[in-house]
Amino acid sequence: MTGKPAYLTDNAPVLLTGVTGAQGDYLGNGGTFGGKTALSTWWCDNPGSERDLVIFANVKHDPIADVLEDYHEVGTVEDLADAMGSGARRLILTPRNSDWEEVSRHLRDFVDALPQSMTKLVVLDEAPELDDDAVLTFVRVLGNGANCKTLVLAQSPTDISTTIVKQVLPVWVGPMKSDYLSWFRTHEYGEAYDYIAETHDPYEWTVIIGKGEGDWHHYEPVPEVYAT
Amino acid sequence: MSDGFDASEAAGRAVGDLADGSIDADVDAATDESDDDDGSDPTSSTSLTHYLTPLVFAPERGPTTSTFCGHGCSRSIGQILDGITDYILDLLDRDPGDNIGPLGKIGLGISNFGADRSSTSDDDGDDGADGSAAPTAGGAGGV
Repeated sequence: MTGKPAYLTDNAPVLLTGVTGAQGDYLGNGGTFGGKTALSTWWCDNPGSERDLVIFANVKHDPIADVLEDYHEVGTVEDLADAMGSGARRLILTPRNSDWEEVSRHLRDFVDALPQSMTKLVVLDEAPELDDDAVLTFVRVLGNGANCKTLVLAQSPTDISTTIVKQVLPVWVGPMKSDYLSWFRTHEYGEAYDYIAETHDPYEWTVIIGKGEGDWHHYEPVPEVYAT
Repeated sequence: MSDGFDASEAAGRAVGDLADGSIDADVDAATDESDDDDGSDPTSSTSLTHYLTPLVFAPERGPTTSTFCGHGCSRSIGQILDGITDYILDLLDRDPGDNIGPLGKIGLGISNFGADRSSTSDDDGDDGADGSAAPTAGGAGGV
């Protein structure tokens, strides 16, 4: 693969999924993240660095601010707006409201109301716990409509609706589990399943770009700094 | 949304003047969140224009020169007062018609108090529908 793949920086939505590694030890350094969160923070800090605005919706209250140190952390979408009004463009939304569905609806409406000319990256952690319509709007409408790339994080791809899965580029993180063979076959990603099951070490990630043999890009784990 | 969250208002606060347009200046500001205040007031030129323009372009509003003269002003004073009322009423976007109103009458009366005037104006003609009352010749004390 030569050059930077378009899916890293374009508006195409991406699904980061895989067996949770929350109990894991990222590269043996005592990190508390699994591969998905580390990958998403890496994505914010690298391909996402070209975006005018980056918002990490951190409903799990992970210590994202320890990784994305130059980000401004807020507790509500209203606070998000205020922080942006003060000039902040790198934000972590760690909601005080336990109604994550409401938070995701507000975030959707807010992002949709921002100028279309402003390029955006939004990370939706624990997507199955968010408002399904809001997530669907992010992946189906706001890509082109709001110039927004969305990273959808889910511990299990089976928790994501088929409607959403059809809109996103799947990215599997870490080792495969046989529990998901059916899901891969249902969505015609069986070839990719076999490859991942045979090759993946912890925290390695594969972007599935098609349904045929070899329609994937396999990556090494992102740097450990994104897991601490 | 029916839960009180106004996304448009929030977005407006987020991007301020750039809510409907370019984000070029906004992106530059993103890397330096602290230098908002460079001493310039972006609203000052707008305010200046707002207050200067009517001095030249305000249309006839309120009492005319003739009406002021009808209440005892000299013609020159009436013209000055006519211009002032045109300006003020344009800023306020009001037009009470061609009359000076009670306050105007009181003010002129006080200014003419004790002066030797020979005005024949009719004080009860408050509606002033016709601004064409003939000027009177009582100019001596009309200051």
